[in-house]
This record gives sequence, C-alpha cells and structure tokens, in this order.
Amino acid sequence: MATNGLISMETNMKLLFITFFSLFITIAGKWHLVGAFEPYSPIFLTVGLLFTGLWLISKTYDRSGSQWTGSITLPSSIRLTAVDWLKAFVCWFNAFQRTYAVPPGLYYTGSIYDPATPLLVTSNYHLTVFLLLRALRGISVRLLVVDTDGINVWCAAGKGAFDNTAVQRQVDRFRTHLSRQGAKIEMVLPKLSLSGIDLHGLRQSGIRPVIGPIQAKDLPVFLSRPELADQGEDRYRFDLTARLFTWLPGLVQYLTFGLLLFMGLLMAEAVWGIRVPMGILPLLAVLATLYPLLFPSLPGHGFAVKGLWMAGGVGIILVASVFFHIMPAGDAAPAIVLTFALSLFIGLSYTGNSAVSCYSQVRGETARFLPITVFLFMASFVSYIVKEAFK
Amino acid sequence: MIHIDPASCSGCGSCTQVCPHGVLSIVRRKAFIGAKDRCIECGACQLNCPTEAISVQKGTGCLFIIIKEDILKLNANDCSCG
Repeated sequence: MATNGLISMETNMKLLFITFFSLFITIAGKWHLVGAFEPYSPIFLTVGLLFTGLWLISKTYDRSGSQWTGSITLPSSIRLTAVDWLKAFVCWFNAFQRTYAVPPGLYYTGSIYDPATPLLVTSNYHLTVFLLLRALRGISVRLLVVDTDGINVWCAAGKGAFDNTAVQRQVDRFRTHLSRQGAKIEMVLPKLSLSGIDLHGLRQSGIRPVIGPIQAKDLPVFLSRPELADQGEDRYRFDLTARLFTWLPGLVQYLTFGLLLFMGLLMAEAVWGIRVPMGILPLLAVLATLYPLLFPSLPGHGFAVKGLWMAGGVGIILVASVFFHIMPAGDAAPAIVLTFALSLFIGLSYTGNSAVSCYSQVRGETARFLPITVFLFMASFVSYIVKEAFK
Repeated sequence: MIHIDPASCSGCGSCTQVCPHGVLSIVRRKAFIGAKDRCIECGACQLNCPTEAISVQKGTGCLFIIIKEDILKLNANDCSCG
C-alpha cells in the first residue's frame, strides 16, 4: 500500500510509531507514571526528537506519478546545488528509501543546449541523478530523465518501470530537440537498465542505443573517446567501496528494527519486570558492520550461510569471554543464541542491499533460514527469561 | 534459473553484452552459461535475445520483496526502496 507520495505507508507508519512511542516512554518515565521507563526517559527523548525530525523531513519528500505529466517540452539546465547534497544525504541516511525525485525531462549540463553533446538516459531517482551529475562535473552532456516513479535504474528496470515505453514517452515529448535531420537518436543507456530495456525494440523505433558503463564514475573515460562504444564487457563490481556505500543505510535500517525490538522488550519490562538486555543494540551495530566488511571473505555462497559463519566467529569470542570471566555464563547463552538470530536476519536482509543476490537462491534461503531465524529469536528470548527467573 | 535452448541460439552474443555479471559467453557459436553461480536472474539476457533462446525465472533477490510477494501475497512494486 502506498501513500500519495514517494514514501510508503509502512515507512510513514514506522516513523510515526517510533516517534509517538518514544515520546510516550519519555513522558511516562519523566512523570513517574511507569517506573520501568524512568531510566530510559533521556534516551527515548533523544530518539523521539530524532524521529520527529525524520518525520518532518519526510514531509518534504516528493510526490509520485501524475505530477510529472507536465507540459514542459523545452530542455532545462541542470546542475548540483547545496539542496541536492542535502537531499542526497537524507536519502542515503534513510536507507535508500524513496525520498526525492527529479522531474522527468530533457536536461543539459553545459551553458546552452547543444544537440551535438552525448545524450545519457537515466532514472528519476534523485540520488541516481545526483551521483551522475557529480561524476559528470565539467562535462557537457544532455540528460534524458525517465519517469521511474523515483526508483533507481536497476530496481526500476527489474520492476518494469524503466522500459522501452518509459524511454519512448520522453523521446516523443522532446522529439524536436532530440532528432537531427531525420538521423537516428543516439542515446547512452546505463548497462543496468537492460533488464528492462529491449535494445532491438529501441533500434526499430529510430533510436541508436549505446550500452553505457555500469558505474557513473566510469562515464568521463567512456565519454572522452571519439566514438561511443558499447560497454558490453563491463561487469558489476561489489567491491569494498560499494559495500561501504551500503554500510550506513544498512546500519540505520537494522537499528530501526532493533529499536522496535527494544521497545517490545521494554513493554515486557513494564508488565513482567524482566530487565531489558542493554546489549542488543550495540551487538546489532557490531554485526551489521562486520557483515558488509567481511562479506566476500565469509565462507559459503549463500547470504544466510555467510551470516552463520560470522555468528560462529562472534560466538567463539563470547564463549572466550566466559572463560576469561569477562561475561557471566548465564548472560552468554542468550547472547550467543541472539547473535545467531541477528546474524541470520542481517544475512537474509542484506540480499536487498547487495546487487549480487539471485532470486531463486534468496527464495530458497528464505524458506530454509527464515523459520530458523524466528525460532532463534524466540529461543534467545526464552533463555533470557529463564536466566532472569533463576537470578 | 537460467536455461538456454542451443537449437534456437544464433550465437549473436547479445546476451553476453547485456549481462552485468559476465555469466554467459559464446562457445562454438552458441551461448554458454559459464558462471551460473554469478547469475542474479535479472532477465536482461532473455529480454534481449533476438531468437528467444534464453529463459530466466526473473525476480528480485530481496528478502523483503520475497516476504511480501511469496509469503504475504502483496504487491511488491510498492516497496519503499528507491
């Protein structure tokens, strides 16, 4: 279910829920209404204010769909401003959620519109256009921004939003500016759009498509050549830079889930007096950092299997801490089970961040490991309650 | 899963040009799945094969989309990712 804007209903609800619940814990703790909430009052005041800010920022997100069917048929100048940097940061910090979009249309980066400059095609996800323009600084190009409903190139192509029809719609809108004396329109398509673009179909409609590079940073070299040649040999590289780019958004995503879990446990503390284990969020942050960093080094091909190996490594450290009397044995047992549960969850959910995940493989892993993950979460909770009961 | 029908393949190499992970290559004038474990089933090869020799069970390899589509039977096109 989607709202009228780019932000989905579930994201909106999550933001509102955390905001109101945090403020409820703050007020209930501050005015001694619920004794269990008192120690957490200052923390949740900060969380509440942070999420109030995020919710207010979400009100600035662009709306989708029909607003883009404007009648503008003239090319527009485009360049990065301070606002674009802010929007890009908000999008990145918000775990690559749909936030801002660029109105579809024909743009130029030079001082005037020059039909002789290369024509690049891209999606109307603001972060995509931002990264593209950042890579193209000082280079004069034309940019045909396709309406993908504020979704990035690869995902939009996979979902069918970045297809021949979407490209053709913008070509028809700006045809007088794109065609030169009946010549074919040469356009550079990002290689990652080809799961939605039928090149043969484009050729039949008077377009000469050129397969562009996968990464925007490779565009300056590609464009510096006298002839634009297909980058058919270009391969997606999920290197450390790419993984670090997903680290903070992933961390924010996992910590938001962790916060919801923490809030649930806090309710249990208020009702049954079971003390909330404070180590949950730091443990989650450590695991969410280790996973993308160690991703290629972790054994196995499956995401969940890699998660299990990571949990094994962290589990050994926890066992060692018991031997060296750093952690009581009673605390270690639920912590180890929780480490396996969180690692499996991080591994499975990293499939959406990775760009090297395969549909049938993830489907198989979800069927096998999601029930185990749920079971381990419950087992860690039960073992923690048992430990607290025998304290 | 990706499958090639060698009888229909013309060996034009379109599939090798559009694959972002270098899964396919041309061997003896036929498309060949050389690195199956790298295939992400994006469907670019199938869409751009002029002789329809390639079939892929296309899908998004994302836990949350699979939960939405396969388990909750919801429309995953409304996912919140940009």
